[in-house]
Amino acid sequence: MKPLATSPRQKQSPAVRQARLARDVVEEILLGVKMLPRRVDRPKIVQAFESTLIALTDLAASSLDKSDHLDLLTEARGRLAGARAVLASHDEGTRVTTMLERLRAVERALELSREATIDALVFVQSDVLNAELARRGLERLPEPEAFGVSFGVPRLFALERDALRANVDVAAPSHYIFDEELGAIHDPGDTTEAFDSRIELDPEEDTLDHDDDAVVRRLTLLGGDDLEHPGMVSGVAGELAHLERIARDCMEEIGMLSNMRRLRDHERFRWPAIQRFEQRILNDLDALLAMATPFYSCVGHEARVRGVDVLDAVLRYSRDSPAIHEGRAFARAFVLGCVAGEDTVRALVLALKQSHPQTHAAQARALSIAKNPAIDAAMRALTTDEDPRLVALALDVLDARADGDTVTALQLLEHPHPDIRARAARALGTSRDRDAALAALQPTLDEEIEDQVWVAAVEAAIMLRSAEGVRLARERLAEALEEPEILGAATRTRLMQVLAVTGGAQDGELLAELYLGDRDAATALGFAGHVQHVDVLLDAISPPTVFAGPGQLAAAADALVRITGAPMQRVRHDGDRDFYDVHTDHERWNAWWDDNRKRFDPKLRYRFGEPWSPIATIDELLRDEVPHGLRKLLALELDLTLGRRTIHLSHLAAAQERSLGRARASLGDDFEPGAWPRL
Amino acid sequence: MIADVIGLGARGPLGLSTLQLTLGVRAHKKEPRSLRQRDRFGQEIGICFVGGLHPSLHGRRRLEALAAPALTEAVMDARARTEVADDYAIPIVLALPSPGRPDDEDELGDKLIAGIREHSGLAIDVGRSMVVRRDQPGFAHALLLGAEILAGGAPLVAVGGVDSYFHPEVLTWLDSTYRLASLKAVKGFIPGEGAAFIVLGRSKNKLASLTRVDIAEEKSDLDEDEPNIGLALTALLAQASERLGDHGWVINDCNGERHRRTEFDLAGLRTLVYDTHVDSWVDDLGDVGAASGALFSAIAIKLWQLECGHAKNAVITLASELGDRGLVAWQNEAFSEGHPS
Repeated sequence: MKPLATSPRQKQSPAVRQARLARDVVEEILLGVKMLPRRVDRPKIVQAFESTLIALTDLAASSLDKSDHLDLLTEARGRLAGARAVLASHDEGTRVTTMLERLRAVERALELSREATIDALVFVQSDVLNAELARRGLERLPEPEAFGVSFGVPRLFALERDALRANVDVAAPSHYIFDEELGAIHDPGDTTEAFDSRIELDPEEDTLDHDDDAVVRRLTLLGGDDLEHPGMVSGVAGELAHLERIARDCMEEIGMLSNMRRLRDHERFRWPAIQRFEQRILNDLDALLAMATPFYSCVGHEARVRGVDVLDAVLRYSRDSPAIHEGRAFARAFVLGCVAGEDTVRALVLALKQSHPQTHAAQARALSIAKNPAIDAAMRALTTDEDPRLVALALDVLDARADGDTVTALQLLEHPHPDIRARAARALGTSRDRDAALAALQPTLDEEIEDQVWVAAVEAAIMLRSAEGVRLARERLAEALEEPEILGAATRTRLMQVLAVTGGAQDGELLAELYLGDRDAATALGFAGHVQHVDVLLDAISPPTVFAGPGQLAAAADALVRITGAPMQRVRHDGDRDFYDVHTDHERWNAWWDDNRKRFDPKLRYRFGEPWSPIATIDELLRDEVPHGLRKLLALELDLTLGRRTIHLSHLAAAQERSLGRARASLGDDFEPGAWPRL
Repeated sequence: MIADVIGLGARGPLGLSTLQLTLGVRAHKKEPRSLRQRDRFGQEIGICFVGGLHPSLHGRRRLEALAAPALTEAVMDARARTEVADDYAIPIVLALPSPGRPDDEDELGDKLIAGIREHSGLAIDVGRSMVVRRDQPGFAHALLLGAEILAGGAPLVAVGGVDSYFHPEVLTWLDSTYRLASLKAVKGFIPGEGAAFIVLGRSKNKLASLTRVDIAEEKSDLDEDEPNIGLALTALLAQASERLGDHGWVINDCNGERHRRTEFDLAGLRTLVYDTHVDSWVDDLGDVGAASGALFSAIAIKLWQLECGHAKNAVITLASELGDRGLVAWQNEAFSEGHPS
């Protein structure tokens, strides 16, 4: 049904707006309960907060045309007062005082919205009646969605279930808490982060862990007895316990396989193997969520029982880890992120906020591929968080999900943390409003002192088809020839790569001068595709070699093949040639070049002996056994030459294959083979 | 085509509905659990059991508790696809283990059907219902009997199988002949349990079609001096191949016992093309005995329904220790090659 122009649904209730804000604040306060001293009555507090959140969620889901709209407002306000009273009964210092003040502010804001809501109700009253009648006539109950399975990419599952509410961990930590100060954005590979022990300790408490659950866990480890397996209990309890066990197996495998999915730069991307591997994760996801579906019980008489509460199970699974566990965090984010509903995404964000920073990268990977569309809005909201690590995570996820929203990025271009600014700048490269994005980037291009931010802005400008980006990269590299210390090694390499894939014929000389025999520079030369670089690279592998390391020689030889396509690959033990393992024998190379030099036109850009076009880049990305590090560079080349984000390497292989197929089909005759990129 | 599949119901060690079981198998979630009962080597016996059944529940009562919910699921599924009245008393044909096992009892079939009716609360046509006690191939016999009931005018018939090795004396019996898999008897099998039903009838809203049922006898199985080179199974697969074309998808009931695997391999070498997809779901479920044919059929058809079947034809081979061999072929006309499995 086409909505009426005067539909009351179009006028949002002030109370609804306020309820949504209030819910966010109450959830935040609830997260703080974990840090209160052990002696506080957590179950009572959680119960009070949970009923408050239920009331606020009901109000947020309500609208002006609902007859009980004001009642829901009254209920929510009452629940807030109740939660405040429960909290106030604990005289526990500054932390509780701050919580009470925030609750009071929320309560006051909700009360203030009452009058505005009444005004709005009066304004739309006649429309409400008409719309109500029209809706009743057209209303159809939704058909239950058939359970489908995942192929290559996860499916969005709709489960028959209760809403998830306030499912957060409020158990007191044992004897440490995470650093509450805004720390550096955590490198997911760094496991050395020290814990801050400035917990607000209750002086009467022993700081050692006497947690009953922990004792039970230890006993279970020592004295497991399968005859006591809960699945052997008669009836529904046993059935559910048995399904929970299977569900647990699925979650464990999702977590374990997710850890194994990451590739290091030297590792090869093998399409069929990786697709089969990723399908195993998806099979586990499907099986896990199937355990939530109803079944007929062995108690008989057509008794139909709802399956395992998988969402609760995955939240528990991620919490009862005895150590920081990236796999469990991935499983939680991935599973919750593949179940339809806003509540699942709220739950995963709450859990994310409580999680250890070392698990953030794993959760980002999960959220990048999870299917729930509500993740986009949740990540946009997370970019306002005060923790820069979460902001960075949210920007990474939005980038991977190709969210296309650059308003958030604009707001973050002046963030105090350079990692955030760099991500914001990169995000602007995908903006649909080219002029506004370029204008926003200009101050960064002119004044930014942090290299990583400036380079990100240069790349974004190039994505937006600005020649300014290439010019700046060229100028900075030329300056570095005179004053090498102005560029760090990583920045220099990145700028060389950028210039190699987007520069013109005139940049060949500069790139050759910048090449000092190092591996990354050699790779950049290979990507640039200048015929004149062949002699430079041949010199690098010919004695006396200044840089005799095997890695450097191999990189030079790889670059030679990338330009010339010479058949210099080594033969593997199985008799096939390894495309990415090249002979470095200079005599053989020189002989080949003497025989073949004439067929290369110095005016053209080459890739594997053929005039280059982006199709060559796409085809190489589709090739089997490409080292992961090279794929990153190929993806950069594609993004910068096409001016759009084409492929994201954190995506599942099936999604990557689809993206590349679409990109290939869209190219048409836009690129003349052998022509240099034109900006 | 013999009949249409109108409904499915199953429960086994990896799930309590056809959907759960199928996706549990697809994800290879096998997990045998140890029992306190020990084998002749003093090691705990491992078994794949179905949840919700107390360890003291053995024999016929356990079979009832396994079969009733599976039948309920199948009948409810069929009701949603046909216009048969809810109070229609459905005849059932049930494959059971051969007589003589330690968990056997007098009039097992009649008592079991009555028990299933009572336990499930479903309307069952006891008069036309029957059991076939021939282990795994019993399901092929049951399908033929079910087809006869349909030919006799019944709109629907539920054909299924149920079995459980969860019985102390049955486990002792298996152990006494070195048939239980353990660290010291690696060529034995891991016992399991389960039940499944396929509701057959005629409907445009079908899930699949039953296209072929064949039965044969492997005479060498009964003659100690005669080597078993899989002649009967070869003949079954060859005949089916003539009628159905290449076997895109074959599901066997090999359970880890060496002679069963050798027989299937020999028959397969002679009859299967190189890209035939072969599944051995006993690897995931444990040996589910007389329930094998029905369980594997339900899983295969469910995989089609979820668009992850492996071929248009699914052929299930069934073998008993007493020389019986059976072959059941299902077809999904709507199958497309589009999805990876």
